[in-house]
Amino acid sequence: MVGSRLLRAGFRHQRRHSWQTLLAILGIMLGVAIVMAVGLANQSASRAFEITMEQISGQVTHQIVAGPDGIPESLYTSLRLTLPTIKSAPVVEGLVRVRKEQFTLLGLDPLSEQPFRNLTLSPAPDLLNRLLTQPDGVLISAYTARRLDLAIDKPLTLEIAGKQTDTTIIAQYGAEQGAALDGVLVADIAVAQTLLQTFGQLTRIDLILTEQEVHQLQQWLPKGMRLIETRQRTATMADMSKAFQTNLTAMSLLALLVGGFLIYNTATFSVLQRRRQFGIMRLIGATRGEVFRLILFEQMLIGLIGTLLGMGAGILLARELLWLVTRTINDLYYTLTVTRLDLAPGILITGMLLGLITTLLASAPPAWEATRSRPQSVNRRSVIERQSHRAIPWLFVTGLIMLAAGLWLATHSDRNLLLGFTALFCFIVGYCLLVPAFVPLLSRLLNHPIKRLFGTIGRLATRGIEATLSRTGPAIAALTLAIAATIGMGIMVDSFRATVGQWLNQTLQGDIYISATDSRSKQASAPLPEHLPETLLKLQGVREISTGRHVTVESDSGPINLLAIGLSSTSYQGFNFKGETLPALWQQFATGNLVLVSEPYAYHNQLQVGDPLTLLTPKGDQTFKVGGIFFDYGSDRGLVVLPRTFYAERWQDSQVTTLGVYLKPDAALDQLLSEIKSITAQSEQPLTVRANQEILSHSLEIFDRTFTITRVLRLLVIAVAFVGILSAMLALQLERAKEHAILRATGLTPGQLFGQITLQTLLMGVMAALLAIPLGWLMAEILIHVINLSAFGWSMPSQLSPAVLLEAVLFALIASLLAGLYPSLRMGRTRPALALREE
Amino acid sequence: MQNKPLLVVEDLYHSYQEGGDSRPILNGINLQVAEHECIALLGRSGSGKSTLLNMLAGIDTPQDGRITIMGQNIHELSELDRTLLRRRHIGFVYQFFNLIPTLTIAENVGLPLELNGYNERDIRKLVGLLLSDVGLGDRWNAYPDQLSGGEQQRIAIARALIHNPSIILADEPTGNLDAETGEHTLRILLGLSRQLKRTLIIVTHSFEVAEKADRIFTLNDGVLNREGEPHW
Repeated sequence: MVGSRLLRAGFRHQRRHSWQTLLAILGIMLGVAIVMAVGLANQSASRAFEITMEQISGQVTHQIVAGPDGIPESLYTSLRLTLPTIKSAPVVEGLVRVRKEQFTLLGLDPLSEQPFRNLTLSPAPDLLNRLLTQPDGVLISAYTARRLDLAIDKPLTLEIAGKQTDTTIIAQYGAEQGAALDGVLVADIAVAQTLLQTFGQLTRIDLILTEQEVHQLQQWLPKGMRLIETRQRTATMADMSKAFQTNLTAMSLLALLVGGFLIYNTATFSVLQRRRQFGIMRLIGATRGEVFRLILFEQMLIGLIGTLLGMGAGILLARELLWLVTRTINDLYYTLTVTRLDLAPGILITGMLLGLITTLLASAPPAWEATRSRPQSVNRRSVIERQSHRAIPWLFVTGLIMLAAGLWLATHSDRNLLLGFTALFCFIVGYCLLVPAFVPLLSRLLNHPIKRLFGTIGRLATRGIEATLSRTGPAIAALTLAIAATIGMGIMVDSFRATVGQWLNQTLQGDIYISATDSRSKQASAPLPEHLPETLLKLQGVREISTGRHVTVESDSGPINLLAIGLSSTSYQGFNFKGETLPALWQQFATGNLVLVSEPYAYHNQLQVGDPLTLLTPKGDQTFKVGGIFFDYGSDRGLVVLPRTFYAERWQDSQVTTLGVYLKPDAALDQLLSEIKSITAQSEQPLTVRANQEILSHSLEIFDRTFTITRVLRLLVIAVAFVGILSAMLALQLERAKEHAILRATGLTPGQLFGQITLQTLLMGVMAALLAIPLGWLMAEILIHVINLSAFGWSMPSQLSPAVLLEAVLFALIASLLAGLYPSLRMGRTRPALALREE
Repeated sequence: MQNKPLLVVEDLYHSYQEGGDSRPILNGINLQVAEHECIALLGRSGSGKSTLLNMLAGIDTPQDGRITIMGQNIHELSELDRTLLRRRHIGFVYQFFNLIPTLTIAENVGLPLELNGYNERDIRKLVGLLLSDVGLGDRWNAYPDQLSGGEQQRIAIARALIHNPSIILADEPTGNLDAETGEHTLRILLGLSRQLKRTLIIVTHSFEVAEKADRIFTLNDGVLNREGEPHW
């Protein structure tokens, strides 16, 4: 227990320094809010995915899947006739747009659906009849209808592969499932086939199987078909975005770490300011335990208030982050509509515990330190500083040990993302522990030039930093951490962007590229008109063309993105291989004996050059040899490349998804671009024609969009850090009020005092910026070479951009200037007599 | 000495490191203080008076020798037990008052009682009485920075006496006050400690202050010498 008078003394101290308390609350609030927001947004996206999959999959245990063209309808008929006891339902699935939003269109057979799911059940009595007979009838989830203000029997325009098609809403479904079915339209299977123009084809056959039936079905299944477990498929899909979501969580934890630093700073200053008070309490007879509990209680109360406010702010922020997370998942991984925030109790409790535990961990050391001092020595300023200087070697050694641990973890993390982040944490904390050792050194280094420039004021400023290391050390360390975080993230994003730019420049060997605007299928990109290649080749100025077909095929490790390419004479130059390739690569490639795999695919599936890779073809499984591993930053899921002629023959699919047009050296790009655009305008489906530079800038736009969330988090980390610095500077200046009053009484003008304090805080900013550069670079190296590699399988060179460093140094200077401004003004205006009189 | 010894100091030795040298500050101190006795320790600045006082309070540890308070060698006690001994049996008055700025004067005075487990009603009653005794009964809710130096020192005296400690240690109690206020404050301190029959040890460098004590000792070059007989 802590006595009420001790508590009162503590609370009144907080009230008297309310700005400091408020900044501490703000710091922990921001830290918790960011962690909560990211957690809730991630959780909402994952949960929405799970629930949607649960609802769509229903009781389904297995699925029959095939290649990009799907399954012939006749197989379903044959299955029903051959194995009539097996519960099966045909499914057609495709992508449509409603008011620019991407939806999944699910074509089901209402007569086979009963044991599988209840999506087609609805209170309307004539629903089944209408579903089966109305050629344009679709069902919309009750939640989506409410959200988009859509009513039954009203027309609904769908955009399918760029073309507008009118349908009618015949009923709402899934009122009980709430937001789980948001973004899913249901239609009769025949209606879906008509809308998606996949006549006679099914996307898959859903099944409910016993173990015996699994065996039975596998015996019966024709070549080119695969029986997969639904649960496993759902897990594979959910795993796709896991690395992205883990990265977001780690970045949010960085914000909390900076927030923790802020609490540590506040608690330390609060203790330092009251060392005299605690000394008196100890002299009167308060035990160490009582003083410890008092400090901890106060700080935990601040932490609790900050945490509760942070939880509220986190929920508000999560609503904004949710669409950024969903957009990125849609851009990179799979179609997902999430409009409702899932306030999962687990995340709320975790957010609260993180806030409180961070507060506890951050405030326990200063509380402990306050109680360790002997009662009479806590009154002496020199003792405090002597203790701080004495702690430097210990901090330095601990810091070095943590850096060594970080290095060991970074080199041994071996695909483990958690170990990668632990290494990063060790580096950050280890380096921050080294900072106090560098401050006196830098202070002495700067002393001479600053004295020459600013005279006595300059000398006082540099000396003051070293003389009050117990105060300046943590403040500089906090600022160092914040600036290093901006440098680290900045270098990582810049390196990534530059690598993607270089990769695109190398990959886009053609001058003009043509593709369909939108695809109706999840398994394949929309095909281009059949005669387009020949037409384009006849154009004057066109030297040659390359062709590509993007599809998703099945493999032992789940679905794979496959690109079948018809190479032009210069397309080969578009591949940059990682390490060695098999000999006579391109000759072997042309025969279809080997495949090329992208770096992320090889990384995730632990493939080396020469390893076998089995793909499901319509003629059954076929094993290829990996001929080379190429750099590819298009997708972290990875890509497998085959020659198009081989693909066309083996998969019986001669369609083309993209065309690359190579111009003769004297051809005019703009003129040919217009000619091609006028040709493609005659196509039934909308086609996109772009010059390669346009694709480059468009791709980088998408890249920037993907990193919007990273930038938002980076800004939030900076905001937390700024609050920390402001708090530290204010506390520092308040702490030194008496010293400043003495200087004023000795003859320093208010202007000189203002100058001295401003110069000192600015110097602290300069020191933090100098110290942050190595840490920022270290953080970038770990982010790029350990974390990005573990998470996404991408390797890339790190590029130290002067702009990032300049931006960080400017931030440090502005933050320290701003943080020092108010205390400088305040101290400049304070009457020396008042400050001298204060205890 | 008419009463049995309350405090016994035997062969106390302590030195400070100065550069590579060791400077003895207490060099074989022996002292016995009886119950209800008032003694003064005279000495120049830096002579080790405050160090000795801190050791008597158990907040500093000698390199050699022993201090026995009420039959207990305080440096054989654990840190917690030393704190509890201080809490119950020792009151401290400092040159710079050392009041807690965020507590009112009533709360400052009541703090030792609360630490000793008194209930709130008793605390208020005792605080009221003692504040009247030191002449500040009307300043109950004032904060320390609203008081003059003399008033703050009177509050510090009240705080040192409130829990009825056996020993009051006063470190230059008038050192920070003008002569008139110092005289007045000293009268209160001596008056109250005699009235309450407390043992008082005053550290001072002023002979005028010291001559009000029962016995006077001077601390010089780490050695304690008896000055003479009481003057009153």
